Amino acid sequence: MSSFDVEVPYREIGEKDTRVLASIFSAYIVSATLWLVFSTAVGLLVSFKFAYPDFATSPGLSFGRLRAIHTNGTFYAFATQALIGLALFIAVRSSGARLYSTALAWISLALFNLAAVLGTITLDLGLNYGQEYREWLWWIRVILGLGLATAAWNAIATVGRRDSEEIYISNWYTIGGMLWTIVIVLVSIVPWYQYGLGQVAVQAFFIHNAVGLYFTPVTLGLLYYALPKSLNRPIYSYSLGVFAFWTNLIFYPIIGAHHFEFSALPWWLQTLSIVFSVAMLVPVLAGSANFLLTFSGQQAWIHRSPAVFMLLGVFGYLLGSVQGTFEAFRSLQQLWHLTNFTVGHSHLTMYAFVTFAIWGGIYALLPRATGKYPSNLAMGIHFWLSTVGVAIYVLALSAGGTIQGLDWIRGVAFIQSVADVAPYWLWRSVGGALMFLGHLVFAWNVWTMTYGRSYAEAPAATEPAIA
Amino acid sequence: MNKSLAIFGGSTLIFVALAILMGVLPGIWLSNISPLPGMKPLTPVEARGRDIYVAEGCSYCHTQQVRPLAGDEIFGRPSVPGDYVYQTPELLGSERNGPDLSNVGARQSSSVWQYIHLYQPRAVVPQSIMPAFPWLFQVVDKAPAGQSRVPLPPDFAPAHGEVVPTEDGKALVAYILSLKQVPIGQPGAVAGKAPTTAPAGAPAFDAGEGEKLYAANCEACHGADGKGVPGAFPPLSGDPVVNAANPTEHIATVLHGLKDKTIGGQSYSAEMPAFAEQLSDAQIANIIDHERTSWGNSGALITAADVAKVHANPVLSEAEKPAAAPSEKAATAAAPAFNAAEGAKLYGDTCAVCHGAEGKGVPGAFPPLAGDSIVTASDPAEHIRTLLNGLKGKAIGGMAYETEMPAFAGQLSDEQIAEIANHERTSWGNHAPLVTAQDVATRRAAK
Repeated sequence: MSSFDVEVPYREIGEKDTRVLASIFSAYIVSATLWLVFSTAVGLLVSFKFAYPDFATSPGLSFGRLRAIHTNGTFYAFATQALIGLALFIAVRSSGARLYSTALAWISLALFNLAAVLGTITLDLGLNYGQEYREWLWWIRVILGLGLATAAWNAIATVGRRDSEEIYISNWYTIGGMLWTIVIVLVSIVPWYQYGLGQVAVQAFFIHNAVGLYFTPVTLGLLYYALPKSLNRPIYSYSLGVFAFWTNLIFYPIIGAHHFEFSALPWWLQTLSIVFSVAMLVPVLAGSANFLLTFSGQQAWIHRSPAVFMLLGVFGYLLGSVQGTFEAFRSLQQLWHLTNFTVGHSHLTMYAFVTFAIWGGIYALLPRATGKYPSNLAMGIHFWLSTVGVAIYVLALSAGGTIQGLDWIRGVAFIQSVADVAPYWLWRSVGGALMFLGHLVFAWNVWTMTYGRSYAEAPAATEPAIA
Repeated sequence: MNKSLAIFGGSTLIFVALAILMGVLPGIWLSNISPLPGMKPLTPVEARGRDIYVAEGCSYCHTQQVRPLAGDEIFGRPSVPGDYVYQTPELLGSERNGPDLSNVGARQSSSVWQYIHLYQPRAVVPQSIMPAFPWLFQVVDKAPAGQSRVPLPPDFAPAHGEVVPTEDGKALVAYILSLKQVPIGQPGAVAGKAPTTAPAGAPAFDAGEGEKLYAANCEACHGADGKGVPGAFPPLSGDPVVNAANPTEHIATVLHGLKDKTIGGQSYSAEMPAFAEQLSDAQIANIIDHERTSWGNSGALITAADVAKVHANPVLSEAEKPAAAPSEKAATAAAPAFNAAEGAKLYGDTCAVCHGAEGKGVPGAFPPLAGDSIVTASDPAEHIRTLLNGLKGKAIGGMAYETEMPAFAGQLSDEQIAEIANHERTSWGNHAPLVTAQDVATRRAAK
């Protein structure tokens, strides 16, 4: 298609611009990391409440308020700040132009943090909009939307200054994801068509698109840049990336209703969502194959490179998405819908896919911006704690959720289904504890890559990647 | 910049179109559904209770959607679009770590139980993992006049003083008790049939069934071990009425409920609900026999016929229920009465030959009714008109059907057409609001 078939652009910019970019990029990642540690500490506390419901019984520490703080904090504080920071860096480096506006980048970060702080405080006070994954009050979501709008403006204007004809594929995904999310935020806020079952339909649209047209495309955009960059080879097929971009855009918005199968939503709407859940295999398999084929032949040294985080991220994308397609079938929804299997699925996608890809991107790109490297050992410890942790987490809830569903089908007393899942909830906490320890190690690594002291032995593994 | 415009502008335009199509338009359409007959908007107190429900995140573990699946039957009838007309924000939920609450106001109608359970769930359900909500209550020296204390079992009560709900606590319980499904089938049909199915002769007691029914209907208050909750709900183990040779009082209590009774020197403020409307005579007999043979009890077994006898005794039943009856009667009278068996039979005789017993139709020849937009529309006008007047040369779902559908206005009565329409509207995954013979008569006259 273009010259990008053979190279991933990493263009030089002026020395001063390099320093400014490094300080912005560092601030985004450090801020995101603080939110990751906070939000997952909350998640860990919440998970222990399944085993010890009478632990920390005060309004501000209650399950019903902290759960939303965990989900919104990981989504709209951690993942958002990390992904937008990475997206701005990629926009600059792939375009060979300095950032359009430094001030705008700081404003976006300030808006994201303002929204996250206000959202966390209001939720803890019991001010909740009442719709999952959009619990923040509407005016806080407006602040989040403004953060995205300023970031999208900045990225588009930066790409507009590029020195080549082509816009590198990563920017399609990252900027597209930001723009679409602004639309999603608007649709979720306007109240006129959100009464009773009408709100259920809007929620079905929102809950799925907030994942599928925000986190998925921005994360894929990140992978299209950081992955080939860290492997020092071009992406396997540029055109396949373009193909997956458009199919993802067209299929994803139609499948929201599969979150409400067997509900009072129109049956045809549910059926339509199942059909397009199957269609989603097209962009998912295209994207996964593209990434995996880019890896092929690289196994020899990958275990010492940030690429290993991205490899796990790709597997998380493939497994989580294919699982999502199968879960949408009515036969399997009968068993798994409303059980803890769903919670396992959402961690497979938001953690094993999105979060691992973010880590791979940070480990691969942040040292290029700051010139500081993390300890290879600490990176390895982070990888294994988080990998083993999420594996335990997902397996425990998949098994526990299946038992829950079978109990309901067998018609045993409801409380029995609660008692039967108890040991699996405990295992989930064990997995969650390992994941959280991993985040502490990650925070240390971010410190060494930014404001702390570099582990200057520029790791052998990343050496061939330095262009 | 043109390239930017094509990629970013073009993709965003496509997404805006899809967002309108898949989010906004279904939202507009489904926001304008009419309520089921007999439904009322929430009172201000109930609405405040719903705000508490949202603030405390109840919907993260409690769904409000009964699915048309066997496992969901214990929670009520399958939810229909009309159920949600007054429910904004919608609280269907995505996870069911606790029971579904669509019909909890009918299943668990005791406010006393609700208060104890909110103050400390493990006081009434030992295995519960629900959080406690002590901040919806306050401890006072003495409950103020006109307000009763929450009768907590000693193990869970504070050392000094009495527990009373705050205004928020009262509002939340008012909301929880307002969650009642309005009937769309024919209530009481099950109970009426029971005597004919009850076997004659020796009492046949299905122990497994009795235990299950007890767990679903009685255990929350009286406990799995029949010990009740001290001071709140009386024990059944060793109770004189449960062990009496003459079962009449036991049967009457389950049928018609109980209020303000002193048992064994302890007065109980919690009201026991009546089960006559919810359970068949055979089911009540199984529950009673379970109670009479468990936890060291040795009361004589009874049969469904015994229950039917007490059920039919006007003195016993009239004396117990005058207060609650009128409003409920009014609600059931207004709701369309739909005889499911009759509807299925008429459909089978009249419609199934073309549209199929499964409502799937015949591809290219006769349209499916399962999932059809007219059959599932909340406004039944078009559906009724089609049954009355027939149809010809219509394109449905992009497929043109040549075959003519006959008019049934001349062959079937309004009642029969309503039965058929209701069968179609509630079968094969359809769940549209029911119609009445009156609706059909109106359409017939309008023609």
